[in-house]
Amino acid sequence: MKKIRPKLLAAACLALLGACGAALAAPAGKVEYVAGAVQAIGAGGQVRILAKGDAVDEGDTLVTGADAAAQVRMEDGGLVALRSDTRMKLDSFRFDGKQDGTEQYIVSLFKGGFRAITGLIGRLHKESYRITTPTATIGIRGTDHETIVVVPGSRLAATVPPGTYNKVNRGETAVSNEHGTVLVLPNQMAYAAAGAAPVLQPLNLDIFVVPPPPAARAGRTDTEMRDSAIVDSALLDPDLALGPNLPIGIIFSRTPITATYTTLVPVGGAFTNQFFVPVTTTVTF
Amino acid sequence: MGRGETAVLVMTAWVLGCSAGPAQAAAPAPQAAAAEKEAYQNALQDADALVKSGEPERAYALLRGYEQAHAGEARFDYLLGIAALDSGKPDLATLAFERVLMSDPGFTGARLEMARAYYQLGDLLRAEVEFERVAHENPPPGARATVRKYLEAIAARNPRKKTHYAAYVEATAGRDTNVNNSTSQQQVIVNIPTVGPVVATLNATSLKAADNYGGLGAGGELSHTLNPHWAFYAGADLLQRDYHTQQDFNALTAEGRAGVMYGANAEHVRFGVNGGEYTLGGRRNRSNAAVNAEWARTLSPRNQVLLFGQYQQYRFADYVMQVDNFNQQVAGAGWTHALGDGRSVLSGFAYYGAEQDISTIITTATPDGGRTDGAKRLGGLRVGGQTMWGGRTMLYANAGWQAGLYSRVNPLFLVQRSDRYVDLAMGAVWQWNPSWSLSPQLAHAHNSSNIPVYSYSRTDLSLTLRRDFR
Repeated sequence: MKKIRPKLLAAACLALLGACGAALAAPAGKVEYVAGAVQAIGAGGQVRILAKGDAVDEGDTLVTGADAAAQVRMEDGGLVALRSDTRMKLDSFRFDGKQDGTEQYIVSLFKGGFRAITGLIGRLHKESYRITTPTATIGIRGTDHETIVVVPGSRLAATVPPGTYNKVNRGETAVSNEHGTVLVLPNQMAYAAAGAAPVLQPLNLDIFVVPPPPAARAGRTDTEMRDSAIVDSALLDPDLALGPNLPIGIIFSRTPITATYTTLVPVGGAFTNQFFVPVTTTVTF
Repeated sequence: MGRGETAVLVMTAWVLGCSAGPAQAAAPAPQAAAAEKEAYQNALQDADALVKSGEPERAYALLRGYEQAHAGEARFDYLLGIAALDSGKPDLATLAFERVLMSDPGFTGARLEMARAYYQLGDLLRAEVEFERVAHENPPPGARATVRKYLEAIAARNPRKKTHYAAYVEATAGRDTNVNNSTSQQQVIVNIPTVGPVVATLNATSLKAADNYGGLGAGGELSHTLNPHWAFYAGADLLQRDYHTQQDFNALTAEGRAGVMYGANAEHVRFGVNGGEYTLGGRRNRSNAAVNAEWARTLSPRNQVLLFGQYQQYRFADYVMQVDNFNQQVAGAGWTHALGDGRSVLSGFAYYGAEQDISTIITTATPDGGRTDGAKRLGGLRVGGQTMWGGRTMLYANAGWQAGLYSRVNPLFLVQRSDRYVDLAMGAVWQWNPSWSLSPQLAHAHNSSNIPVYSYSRTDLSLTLRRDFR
């Protein structure tokens, strides 16, 4: 029997190990939607043009171009919607299906922004989820939130000051830096500038309006437009359905109910002629 | 190369081939692809039908399985977004509509749904932006009416302000067939302890009398948002009703309320106090004061459940009527259900309560104090519905039933009082512009009591013109 050459065997084993590693290391997420130019830069510096269905891995830096967008479904069920002109890095993503404190989801956002609907990571162990930006760190308490980093010289910097902006749609976030922490509740917006504590500010629609404005329609008519939807019932007036005044504790007559009756009362003594006179009495019920 | 080495390389190549994963797997056979395409088209049709038949949850579950493969296709995303929105997932709906509008910003139908989703999320600023964009795209009349209602609702809750005011004035004219909730039976048999049964004739003010009336009303409410979860509210109403001839029954009602509200996601809690003063024929008649609590949970956009409780005190001003003073506790549970397309709602609740008679006045009928008929247990049901008719008119109808059983035998009638009360009302609110509305209403109430002086029927037909200020 001929011996198998050790070098060939070693090369085959390495190839197998590499292949198995690639096959077994689950991606952190999968691209569900791409519009425009979106890239992933791997931990080793290799650049991939992302397309629908592509994997996103721990260590990847995701970059979107102007007017580009992407949505990535994470392995823990969460979702990340990348906005245009964004650069973010998936520093750490560990999730083996358990919520035992070993799970971790740490993101660095350098510029631009994204919306995150969190999945299982962070649901039980809030400290497992963190977003870091140049001016703040954002922690969550089970949330749907949006974070935008405006850097000097960017398109947004022409209308708003540079810094980190965080808006909560559902749940709650905590925006912190070395100067302080602010809790952000639904439909509030926090702003963290360099060198200052984060503060709550009125929601700025220059930053957080998502869909682009309507394009020229060129005579187009939408055949699909619903007149009404179930959710429109929120606009109906519950008092009309049930009546404006609950008849609990009904007051019947609002004045005393009175009636009169007449009785014949005998007049006269035993030794005189006795006779009867009518006497009217009022009774109140 | 020997056979052993060849085997190693073949195995390696096989494993490498397997590890390439589905992305590099061979394309599905044409038949399989066609079957998959057909299944997907069927799923779209089924989901569309489910949404239209009011089963958005099932539609969403069906479409969710296709999201990875078909996200980014406008028709799929639009349908997925609608299914998510109508089944109570506005956050997920916005993600689907974002995809549609990124690819096709001119898809006004998707923009309208996006605006609805923002409204459901409580993001009124973004909702307002998108509704206004839809309004500028000249939508069909039905959609335009919907957009107008949302924009009015957003304006009323102006998200740029923390404190909101609303006020109204109204004028009413009507016909009331029974101004004092009195019986039409003129004579009753009464047991007089020292005399025995006698026939008593009710006085004119205790008998049913009809009259025309006119009324004026005004009220206002303010709410102040303390933070996204807590708000404070306070309000007051003043209503005057003057009868044409039965002026002893002219009524002035002043009511006030205040409290706090808590809202988080699908939960709403309210704690409040309210009170009122009632003047009849120019004289103070009675007052009431109450504390109440309410908890509501939205199970889905179609269903909301409600629990409530109230403690209330009624006090009469006239010494003769003070024997009727009582305290009342009521607790109940309710349900609101949106029908079909959300233009109609059905509501109902059931309640149970008790009244304690607390008067210390001693009379021949009440030697131990309290009410002649004693304490009371009561329970009832109330149901109602409303529907939008066209873009500017709300039609409504409601009905109530209540049973009351008292604790004492009435010494004048020798029975333990038992009442059955029903009422029905129907009407319309025609809002021809955001500030003005006209409301015709027909209401009927009937109480059957085993004590005839408490049995009555009453019908009220009215027309109210109202001006709202927001």
